[in-house]
Amino acid sequence: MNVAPHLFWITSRAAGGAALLLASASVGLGLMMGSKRKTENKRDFRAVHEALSLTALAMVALHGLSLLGDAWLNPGLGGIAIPFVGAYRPLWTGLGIVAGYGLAGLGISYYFRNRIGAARWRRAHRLTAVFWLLAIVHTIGAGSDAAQVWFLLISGALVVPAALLLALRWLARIGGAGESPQRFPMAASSAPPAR
Amino acid sequence: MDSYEKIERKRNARRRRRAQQLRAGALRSRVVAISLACFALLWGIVFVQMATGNDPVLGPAAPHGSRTASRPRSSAASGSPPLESRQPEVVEPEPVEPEVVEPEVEVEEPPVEEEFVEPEAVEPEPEPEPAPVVTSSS
Repeated sequence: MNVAPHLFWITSRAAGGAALLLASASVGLGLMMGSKRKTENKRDFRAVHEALSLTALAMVALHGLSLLGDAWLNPGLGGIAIPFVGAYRPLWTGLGIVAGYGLAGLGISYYFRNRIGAARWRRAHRLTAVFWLLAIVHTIGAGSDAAQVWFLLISGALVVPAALLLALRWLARIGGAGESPQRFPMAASSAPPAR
Repeated sequence: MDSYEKIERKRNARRRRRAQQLRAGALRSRVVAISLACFALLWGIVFVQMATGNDPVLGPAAPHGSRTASRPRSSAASGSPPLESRQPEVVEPEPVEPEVVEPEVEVEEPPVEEEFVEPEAVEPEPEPEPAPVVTSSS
C-alpha cells in the first residue's frame, strides 16, 4: 500500500497515542506526589511530572496540527480548534478538543500560580483528572487504534495504574471526612506541594 | 556561629541546589527523549501496519463503514473521496477503443410485401322479437 499520502495522518495518530501515554504517566505521577508518603525525591518527581506534562501538551498540539496537513480529512483550522464543529465524529473529536484545552490551561496555569493563588490553583489542578478522563473517552470514541491489541497493551500499562490511583483518591474523598487519610496513603493530599 | 560557618553553610546549600538543578535538568531531558522515542515507536507501528495493509481503517479487516459517521464537509466540497475509504481516489483512464469504420455495404432489401388482411365476416345481428301485445282481457 502506498503510505505517502497518509504521512500526516500517521503522525497525528502516533502523536495522539503518545499524548495519551504521557498524560497518563503525568497524572499517575501527580497523584503519587500528592500522597503524604515521605519520599526524599519529591523534587525529582516534580521535575519529571512537569516534563511529562509539557511533552504531553506538545504531543496534543502535534496531534491536532498535523491533521491540517492531511489532504483527505482536511478539517481546517476550525475543525481542530473549535469543539463540536468538525464534520468527522463531532462529539468525540469535540470532547478531545475540550480535553486538550483543559489540559493545556491547567498545565500552563502552574506558571501563574503566584498570581492565581496557591490554594485556588490546587483546587483547579484537581480538574486535570477530569480532562484526562475526557481524553480517554475521546480516544475510545474517535481513535482508529482504540480496538487494537498493541495499543490496548501499551496504553493499559499507563492508563490503568493512573486510573486506579485516581479511583483510590476519589474513594478516599467520598469515604471520608471521618476516616484517617492514611488508609489510602497516596490519596491523602490533593496536590503536590508548592515549589 | 562564626562567619566562617555561615559561609560554609551557604556554600553547601548553593552546591546542593545546583546539584538538584542539574539532576532535574537531566531528568527532564531524559523524559523528553523517552517521549520522542515513544512517539517514534507509535509512528513506526502505525506506519508498518498501514504499509502491510493491516490498518484498522484501510486494511481488509476494517469494518465496513467504520469511519462513515459523517462526511467531512470540506472534503465533500473539494470533491475528496468519502470516508468509507482513505484510499486516494485513483482515476483509471477508460480504455479508448479505436473506432472501426466499417465500409458501408449496400444491401438490397427485398421489397416488403403488403400483407393482405381479410376483413372479418360480420354476422348480422338477429332482429329483436316483437313484444307481446297485452290486452285488457288477459
